[in-house]
Amino acid sequence: MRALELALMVVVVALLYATLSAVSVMPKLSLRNDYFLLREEARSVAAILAESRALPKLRDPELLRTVVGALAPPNREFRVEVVDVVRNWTLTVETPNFGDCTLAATGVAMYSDPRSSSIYVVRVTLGRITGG
Amino acid sequence: MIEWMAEVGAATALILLIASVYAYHIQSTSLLVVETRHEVVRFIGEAGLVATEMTPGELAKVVRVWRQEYSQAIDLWVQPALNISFAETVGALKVCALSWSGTPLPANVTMTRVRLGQAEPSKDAWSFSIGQREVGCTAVALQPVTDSGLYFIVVDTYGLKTFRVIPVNLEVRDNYDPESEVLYNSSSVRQVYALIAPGNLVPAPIEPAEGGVRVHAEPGTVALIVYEEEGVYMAWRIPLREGDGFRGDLNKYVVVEGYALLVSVGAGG
Repeated sequence: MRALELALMVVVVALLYATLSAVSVMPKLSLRNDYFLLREEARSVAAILAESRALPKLRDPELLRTVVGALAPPNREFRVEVVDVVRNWTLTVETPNFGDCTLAATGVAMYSDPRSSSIYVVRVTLGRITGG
Repeated sequence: MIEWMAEVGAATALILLIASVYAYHIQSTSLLVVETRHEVVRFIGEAGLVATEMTPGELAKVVRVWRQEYSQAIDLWVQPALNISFAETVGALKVCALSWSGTPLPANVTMTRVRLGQAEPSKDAWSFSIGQREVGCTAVALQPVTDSGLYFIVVDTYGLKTFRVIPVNLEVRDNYDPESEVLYNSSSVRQVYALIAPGNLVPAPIEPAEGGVRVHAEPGTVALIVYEEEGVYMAWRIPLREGDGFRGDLNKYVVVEGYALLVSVGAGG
């Protein structure tokens, strides 16, 4: 009888452990997939900004915000940081609700401008406000 | 004895009850969500869509992997990076270029009208800036193509170049493999022209190959105009799968030989 009670306790504890693991692991798996997709999007926006050779022209914050806002997928908050490494100059813009993001991923790209002898690093962070 | 059996029965019933509750919970919620997303992520890895710069062959591989293994489970679109729309009005052609989120951006547009005659194509090209008359749009006073031909529109905004090809009364085939450079199922090819930005139509050298003819297309070629004994058709070199903007779970830009494209992947089927 004792053995049966012990077996029952083991089963209940195992099920409890499985439940807790599932509750904590599954959102993480889902979150990891979401993060992966966001990171791919952020990397591509950063790369396309570098590829377009537009960075030397985008020195106005509003213009940078407009261009990145036009390229970013819908329902994505963003923060963009452009750094001129040679001249030690930085421009950062972000959407008003960026601070509320619960999930964000960053992509980085670099562009060397031979005309102005500058090296630009563009860091694009895309975020989403998830949950209720 | 009866007491012992009753206790075993009660314990078994309790275990089954607990197990069924958990099984229902796992089956109905979390696992489904994870599995759906997983398919998109798996496709990205398998097709090599993690790259941001691709060759036409690599892009063709993405489409091929999707077609062979994932077309039932997920959707795929390959579109120009900007929303280039085109309309024929009376005596004019109207071209609009906006971002897919609807934002007008300053852009330089080159539009080439190609008329495909019996022997060889002829072309006219125009260059203009978007936003001269309407926000994000411009109109060109010219008569539209009525016979066989195409419009080749190249939009450049801040150095970000993308394109759209609009065939008119022209057959479009997907029989060119950019990796092997072979144009399949085409044995009676007389001449091939490469369509290259901003509006060039360049004769491409051809030679016989197994399964068709080998076409040496220059880098930057978006499509091939193929003259056969039986007629003329267009074959994609940079394969597009038209959509209408941001769709699905992933909306990613890729650059293919200097052209920016938007690749969207999402659950569907």
